Amino acid sequence: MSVHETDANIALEVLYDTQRGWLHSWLKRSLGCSQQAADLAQDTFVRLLVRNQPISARAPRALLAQIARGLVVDHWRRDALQRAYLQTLAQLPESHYPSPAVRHEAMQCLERIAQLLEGLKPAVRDAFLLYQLGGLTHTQIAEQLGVSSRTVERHVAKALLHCYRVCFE
Amino acid sequence: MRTAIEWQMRLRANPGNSEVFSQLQAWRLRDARHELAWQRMQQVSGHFHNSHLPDATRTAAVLRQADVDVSRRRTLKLLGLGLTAGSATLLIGNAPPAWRSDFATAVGERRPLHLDGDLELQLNTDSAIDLHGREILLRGGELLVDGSDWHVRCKHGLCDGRQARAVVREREGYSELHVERGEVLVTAAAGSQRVSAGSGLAIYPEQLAPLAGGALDPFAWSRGLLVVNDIRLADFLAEAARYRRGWLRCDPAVADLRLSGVFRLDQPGALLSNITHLLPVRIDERTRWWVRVSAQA
Repeated sequence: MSVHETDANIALEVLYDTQRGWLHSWLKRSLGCSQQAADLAQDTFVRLLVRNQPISARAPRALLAQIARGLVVDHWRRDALQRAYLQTLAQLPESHYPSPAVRHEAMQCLERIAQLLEGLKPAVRDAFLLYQLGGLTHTQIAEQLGVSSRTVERHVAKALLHCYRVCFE
Repeated sequence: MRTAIEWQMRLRANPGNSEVFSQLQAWRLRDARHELAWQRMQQVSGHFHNSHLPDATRTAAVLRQADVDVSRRRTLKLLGLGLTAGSATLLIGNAPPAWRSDFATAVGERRPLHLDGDLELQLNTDSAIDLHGREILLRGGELLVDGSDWHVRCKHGLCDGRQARAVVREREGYSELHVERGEVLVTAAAGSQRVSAGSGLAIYPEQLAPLAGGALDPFAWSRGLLVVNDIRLADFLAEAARYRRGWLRCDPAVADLRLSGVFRLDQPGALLSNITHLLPVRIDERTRWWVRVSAQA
């Protein structure tokens, strides 16, 4: 956002012009698809733009690679979620199959949830989803999962704290 | 915040219990930080409220399957590339850099806050504060503070105000203070100094320097205005750039042109197009993010 630049920093447009090709082939190697690599290369620069901090001229490729790696993992997660979600839908009767708009929204929501809950144990996550999405009480969740009500309480509190930290710390 | 979690769970365990509800209301009202923790708790829960999701059991199964998938891919494909990264996505879209702070504003946003009775704060664009007891920590950006007794810690010093209204702003390499009413005592590594109404002070790590009435009205933003008097175009654009995302630059040929005027901050687009009426410049807006101001052809 600054109008002036210092010598130690590199302008984003210069970085874009000089490193886009390199980043694209770097991404292509890990994704195996030129089109996806081009999209993620573009996303990487948008992240830098939104981040809005000076870019040190010393190791710009390391910075690009760091952001791009995260995007690759996100891309895989989205892909995996999509497949798992479509598999679930395939079990539904045709009359219950959601519209593309609904599927899109559900996917976005799933991605957000997957990210929020990343790192939690499956047991904690399951109890928490029944609490948040299912709207069940601790006792009901305890019955369904075959654990004590006290354990469910601990799981839910742990997951809430985890989500809070992901969002705000 | 743990207390906010306990409240959330108590409320769920006692649906429709008005006693629990009013106890919760009282707790929230007692302190702005309780309310903040509660609001954040609601935001977290909001991520899970979507009627289009499959039911809880199916969603859990989807997540488990995706987990297995991703970890397999990581192992297979990433070993060779040495990738160990986590996720890159920001959960909160368009969040300000300091979004982990207690109170923060996004670019282009201004927000008033009322604390502890008579303390009035206002955060300017892209700003963040933390509250530590009676002390306000300015983590970035700009803060207006008005009240009988306040303490603002900024990057390069501590400002103590008595019956004072003042603006504290973080600049590159120094912190800036302007006092509109009352008196503020500044304590910094370079010494301490009293700043009276109508004066300003730049707090550098190694010195304190008085600020003369500049080309920019330091209080105008709190009324939603950008008021400038004989300011360099480059400085004006740097100021305007704080209120919008993306890049805003000008050609050296027009950087020293001067302008004066009153601009509204809630119309960042108009703020730019207005200068073409005042100066012989044109605005080259290649994308929403990339704007260049140059001499009129």
